[in-house]
Amino acid sequence: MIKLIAKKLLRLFFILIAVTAITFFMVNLLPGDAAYNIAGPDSTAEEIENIRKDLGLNENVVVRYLNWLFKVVKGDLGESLLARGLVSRAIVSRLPVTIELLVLSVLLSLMLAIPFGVICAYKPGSLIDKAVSSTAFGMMAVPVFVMGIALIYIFSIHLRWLPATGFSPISAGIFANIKSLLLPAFTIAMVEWVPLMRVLRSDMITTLQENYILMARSKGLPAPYILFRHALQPSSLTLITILGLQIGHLFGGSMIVETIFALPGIGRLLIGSIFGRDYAMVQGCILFTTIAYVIVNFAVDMLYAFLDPRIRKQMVDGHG
Amino acid sequence: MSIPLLSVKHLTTDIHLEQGKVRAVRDVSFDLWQGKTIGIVGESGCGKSILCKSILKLLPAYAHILEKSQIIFNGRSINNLTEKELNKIRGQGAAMIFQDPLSSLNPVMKIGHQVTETLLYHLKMEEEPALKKAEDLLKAVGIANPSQRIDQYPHQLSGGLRQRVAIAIALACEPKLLIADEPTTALDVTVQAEILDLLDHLQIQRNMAMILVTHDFGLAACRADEIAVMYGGKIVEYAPAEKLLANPRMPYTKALINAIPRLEDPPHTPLQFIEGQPPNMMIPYAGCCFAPRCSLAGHQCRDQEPLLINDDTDDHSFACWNPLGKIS
Repeated sequence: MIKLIAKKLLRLFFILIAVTAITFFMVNLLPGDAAYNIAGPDSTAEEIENIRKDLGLNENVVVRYLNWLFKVVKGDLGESLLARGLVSRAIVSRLPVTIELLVLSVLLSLMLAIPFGVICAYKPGSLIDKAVSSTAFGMMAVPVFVMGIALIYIFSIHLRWLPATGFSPISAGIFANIKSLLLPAFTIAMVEWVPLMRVLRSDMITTLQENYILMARSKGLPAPYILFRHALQPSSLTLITILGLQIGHLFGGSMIVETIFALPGIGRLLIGSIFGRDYAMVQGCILFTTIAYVIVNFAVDMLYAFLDPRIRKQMVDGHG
Repeated sequence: MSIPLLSVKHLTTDIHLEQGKVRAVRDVSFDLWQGKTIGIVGESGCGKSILCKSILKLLPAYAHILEKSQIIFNGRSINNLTEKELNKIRGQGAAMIFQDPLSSLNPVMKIGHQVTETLLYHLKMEEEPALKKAEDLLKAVGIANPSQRIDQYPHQLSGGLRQRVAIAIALACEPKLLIADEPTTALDVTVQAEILDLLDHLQIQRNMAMILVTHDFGLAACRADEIAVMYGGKIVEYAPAEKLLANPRMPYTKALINAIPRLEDPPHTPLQFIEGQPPNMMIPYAGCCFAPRCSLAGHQCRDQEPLLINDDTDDHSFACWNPLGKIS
């Protein structure tokens, strides 16, 4: 087990080097740099050149990356080029929003995906299966910003249940906090639950043909019990894999939703920094999302073992 | 004892496949009294398993039992029962064990929970006494260290142990009928004998009736009171075991008996086998479906289906136009 974690940590290190290096060079390829943005449109070439020198932007890209890397190793993410504040502080202040949004949207996706996936698998090809599946595909085809606007129209403008934009921190009360995140989370969930439901449905259809399900039926157990207690757990491995990928992707990738609902999350910070060529901030955000991605995937691996005792055995035996 | 525990009449089951409809079980009737064993013998694909599943209505969605079929269990017809009433019979009245113990236990659920499930659900027992009873049950089926086993998962047990667990699960609510669908086919020969002895012992102890499904005629002959030989979805011969063994009337039964290898045969004696293939159930056949493989088949055999009739004695019936050992 310790060996396994050490192996994962080593892999995390290499992934971080690769990902941060690639983003660094790619941001560098973008036309323009932070100096233009700081100096403003009316500045002279000389002023811009001075700012460049100040920020060390004239040095070779490799040297700059290595400088950044050595500072990071010492625990210093540097200062934002545009906002003149610490990158780490900016990220830490935005992190709770992103994590809350993530947790809430994952919960909502699962609340949709599990019951519908199970019902569809129980009677594949039935009317309800067809109705749920086509609705789901329809939902997945709707772009997130359209879904967000539609939900704002229904729940904020029409029904006046939820606020349309803005974020209330937990300090403003847990109720207001959740209320401000419910609509964006729902927007994400309405799209993300579809692949979860589909993989659960197809895995479950396979599981329901297993002999142990027949055996459970021969024990006279009621159908809902068999579905949820006997069939769900062995059918959820693919679901967990997809869920892990979704979480990793949502961690830094929910910028559209964050923008629509004016939430101060990591995604918006990242996109703003890319536009401003604020490479220190971009690097900081990427570092965090990469770490989150790797941790989530490690958690998924652990969850496999939890869900299936046979995998647990392999891990203990060291074949994992 | 005046009425049988289980009475199956004209049971007919169709399976709907992509290629068409297959009549997997055709007009099967038999009676089973409390404490008795009926052996159902036949080659693979003769409809034995579908027959078992039909009795407890455990068929997949693409199979269905025809209206004329009647299954009377414990004096009550189960034809029109709701799923809830059926579940009561499945758990408490009649239990089933399956061919492959490796796949019939849930791999992600502890043994203890799989045994106590029915106790909790059907008998409304509390968690703790149920676990205690589970240990007793595991002990009763010959598992040496039940208190350890209940915390284990199926993959930690050998095939023989798993089948014992399956038997313990089946017996948990003290059923009156045990349907054993090839319970030992997937096991080693020595384990096979142990499991069958265990079933014998438990059956006598609990006065259960048993349907023992097997493709092994020798096994059925020494374990069952009555034997029904199935071929092409039908019962083709049905008699008390010793009668059938001594005086098979249907050539197919005779061929099955001949196919049992004997210990007293000298080494390298070729095994007797039955020429040809089991019938393709997709294609309807006008005559006796064994006729294409039968050396005694005549015109009548190929053109007209023989019915299951009693010839000389009350309890021996067979479906054959040219029966063996005709007493004239």
